[in-house]
Amino acid sequence: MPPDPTNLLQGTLDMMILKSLALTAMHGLGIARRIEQITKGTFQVKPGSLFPSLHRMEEEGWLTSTWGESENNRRAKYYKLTAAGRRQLETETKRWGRISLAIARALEAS
Amino acid sequence: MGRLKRLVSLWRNLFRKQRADRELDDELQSYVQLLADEKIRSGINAEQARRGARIEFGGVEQVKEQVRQARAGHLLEAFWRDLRLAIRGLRKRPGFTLIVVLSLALGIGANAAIFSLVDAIVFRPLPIPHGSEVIAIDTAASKLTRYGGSSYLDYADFCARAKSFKTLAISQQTSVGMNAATAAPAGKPENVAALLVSANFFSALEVQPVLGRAFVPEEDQVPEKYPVAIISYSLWNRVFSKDPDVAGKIIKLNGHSFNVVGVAPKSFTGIDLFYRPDIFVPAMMSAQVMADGTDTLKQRSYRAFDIRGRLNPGVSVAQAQAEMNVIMGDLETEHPDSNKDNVAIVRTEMGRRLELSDVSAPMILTALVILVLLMACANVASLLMARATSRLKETSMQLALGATRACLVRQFLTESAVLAALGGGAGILLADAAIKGFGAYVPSTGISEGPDFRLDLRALACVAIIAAISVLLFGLAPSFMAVKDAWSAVMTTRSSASAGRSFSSIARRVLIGGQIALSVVLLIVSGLFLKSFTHSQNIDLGFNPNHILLVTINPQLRGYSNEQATRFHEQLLQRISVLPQVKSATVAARVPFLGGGSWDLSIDGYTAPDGEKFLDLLNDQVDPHYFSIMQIPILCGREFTASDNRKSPGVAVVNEALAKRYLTGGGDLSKALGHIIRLRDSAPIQIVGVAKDSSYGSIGNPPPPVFYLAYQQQGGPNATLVVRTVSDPAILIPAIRAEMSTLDAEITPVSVMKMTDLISQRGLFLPRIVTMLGSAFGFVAMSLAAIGLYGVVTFMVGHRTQEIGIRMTLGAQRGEILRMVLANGLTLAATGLVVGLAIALLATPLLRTILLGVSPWDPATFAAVAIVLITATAIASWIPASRAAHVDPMVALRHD
Repeated sequence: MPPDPTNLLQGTLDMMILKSLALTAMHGLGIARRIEQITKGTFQVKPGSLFPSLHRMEEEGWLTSTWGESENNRRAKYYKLTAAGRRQLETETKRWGRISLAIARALEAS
Repeated sequence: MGRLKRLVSLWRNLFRKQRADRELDDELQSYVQLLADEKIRSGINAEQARRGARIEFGGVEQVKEQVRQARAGHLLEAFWRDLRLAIRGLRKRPGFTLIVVLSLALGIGANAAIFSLVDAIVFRPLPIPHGSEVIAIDTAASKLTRYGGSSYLDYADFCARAKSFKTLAISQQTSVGMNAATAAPAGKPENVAALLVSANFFSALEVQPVLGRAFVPEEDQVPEKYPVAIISYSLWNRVFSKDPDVAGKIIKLNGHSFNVVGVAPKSFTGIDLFYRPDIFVPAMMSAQVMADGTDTLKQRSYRAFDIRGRLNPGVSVAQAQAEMNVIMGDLETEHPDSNKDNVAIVRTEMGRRLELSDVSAPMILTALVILVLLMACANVASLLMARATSRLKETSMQLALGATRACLVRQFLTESAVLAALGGGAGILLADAAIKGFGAYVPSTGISEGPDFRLDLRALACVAIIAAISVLLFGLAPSFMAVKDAWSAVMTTRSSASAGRSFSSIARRVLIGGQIALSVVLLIVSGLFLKSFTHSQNIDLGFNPNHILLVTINPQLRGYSNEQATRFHEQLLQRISVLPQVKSATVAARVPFLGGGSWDLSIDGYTAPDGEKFLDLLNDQVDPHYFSIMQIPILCGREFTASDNRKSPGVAVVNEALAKRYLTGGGDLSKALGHIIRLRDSAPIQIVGVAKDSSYGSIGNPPPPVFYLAYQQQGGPNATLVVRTVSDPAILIPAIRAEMSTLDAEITPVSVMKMTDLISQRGLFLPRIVTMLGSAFGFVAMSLAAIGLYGVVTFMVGHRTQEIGIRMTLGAQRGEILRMVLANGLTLAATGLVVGLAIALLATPLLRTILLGVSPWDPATFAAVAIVLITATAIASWIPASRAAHVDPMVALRHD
């Protein structure tokens, strides 16, 4: 079994998925591409991390899903942020801000 | 909201799993499609785009599994799947399953049975509310002993003076003749266990009658005024068929009418695990229930009452003990004649029990039975390892397909748990049967005595714990090893045959070796017990138990007075003496192995080192010819004669041990003659004879000092007729019963039995149980070890079939192959044997105190065990070895 890198970044991945869905509903591949795009290719989200996250967050009530048509008429499952998901995104963003600030300070201190 | 949603998801995942899975499938398919579309748009041709998309996506099954694991209820779902898989796997191999379940059932069942036994004898708390808070007070006649009954007057003083206790209650065990018929005597009186109690007995123990009332304080005030009784639930059921109007009914106890006022609850069986009374009567009525006529309530030296009670809140046992020490000191000053040197001992009821019970036999059994469980677990572990190794390919495949290691370990453990549950279930059935067997084996005196063996909730909880421990013992290691081996097989693509020689195969050999060693220890211990038991049956008792019939009668059951009882005995004795087949007959208050009694005795001219004048010594009261009938030699002086009666001066015979210890200092026994001894009533009694030592109640221990008094001078109403017969005593029983009916049609003997039966029931009960179970455990252990060895060798042969084929093709003879395989098994057996013998050499000296007439290092036992074990293991290795030797080389080469 290859080691699973998503465990480390679970919270981060969740946050980025929520962020990418903030503007509009998207299907799985769309979400992956969007994250790649906004992180300028730093994060490449593999299906093995993406789908467990999506399904878990749907069960948490942060996302809802519906089947729809893609731009080139393929059937695809679209995920959309719920109100709870939006709140979660806010808390996550705030938390992340605090952490990154703290880390930045710690690194500057020495 | 979130929680509700999760519940909905849980529902969907568990019960609409297929639909959820189909949807997931569609979603992943559409992802691959979109990916392919993306590639086509960037100019790659359709075929290559689809291929690229699938490669980029990776393992679809793995992604699906990861999603499933992220879902709610994943563990529950996985458990069901593992359970189904485990059951299917076990059903596919009924032989394997049967052996494993049987091994576990033996191990677990034996443990549950022994736990119930030990529990019934020692550990079960009193069946009352807050039973663990009950304390007990003992009064001991000197500082040397730690237990003894208390007198009623002392008890009354304790109640009046002590501040430590919330409540104190007394009880005294006795047996009474009960006749439930209210009118004229319809049936014969029945001998039942009774308890004389203070009126506060039930309230002190917090026991509420299920019907009627408990005793009230007035019933504790005036002797012989309130003939009332509370009956046990079992008597209510048995005699009164649960009559709801039983309160107010009259029963006759020893001929006196008593009013039933209440029924004790079913769970309440008294305060002694070995004594379950059917009748409770106020102690004030003791003159009517105890037929010896003495008023037990007025003598400070009549110490026969057990005191139980509860402490005041916040008072510790040590504080109560300190207060009792002061009170006992005061009582000694006030009543020097009766209370000199008396001490009170305050303990919790459970503490008292643990201090006074002989726990050596139960502890040995517990140790043995735990060894058996360990062996069963080792056996199952090695079987599971073999199974895991043979499933190596399957496991490697599962790993390659993306199953996680944790997932596989869980799957193996589920299988172990199913096996443990099956084994535990079968174990309960086995334990239940064993406990019923014990119950039938417990010596019975006809009334509710003896521990109440049963498989209760405590024992069932114990089974559950044992089963859980077994799973950990036998399940965990094999599952880790299996997964580890399978993983290395995947990584190195080794064949299963070479992987079979890996860590788990070594571990198996260690397990089997250990099992053989343990079974050697068990076999040696059981061999020693067996030898000791055989020896104890032939041990010299100091009297001749053959052709002796004992007839115990209790004329007080008929309400006889002391004189009437004595006359009845005399008449019966005369009639029996003239029966054909009877050599002679006599009367004794007690006989060896059938209840013992000790009386306080002072010896003129002797004072104990601690200044104590009275000795607490075993005592018997016997008629003329007792010694000649029992064939106990009189070493000097004389035995009792018909002229030693109430009008003549008191006489006594002492045994050798008493004479040597207290009178002659080991010198000439005849110096003991003429010495004066005194009971508490201090009338002088002269020693007229010294009898040879004989066993009194236990076999193998050095005989205790005993003094005999003339039955005519000191005897009470209860006695046993000792009849020496020409041949088998059993044939006389009908004739003796007939003679008894002629004298009094309504009297029935308490018991009629052969002396030899009595000894094997009473004196040898525990040794016999230990020996029986020890031998059974030893045999089971050896069978388990042999099965294990057979499994290991068979397994080895299976995995070396190819090698054997090559050897034979290259010219190896069948004999050589046979030797090779046999050597493999026997090396293991020999190693186990040597280790086992070494452990046994170290361990058996611990048994020295309970082995009779056999050395803990008995060479014959050790040798016999070695031979038996080598034979058994040789057979276990021979079967697969000869199979290997008859392998067809062509078939073997193509193998695997």
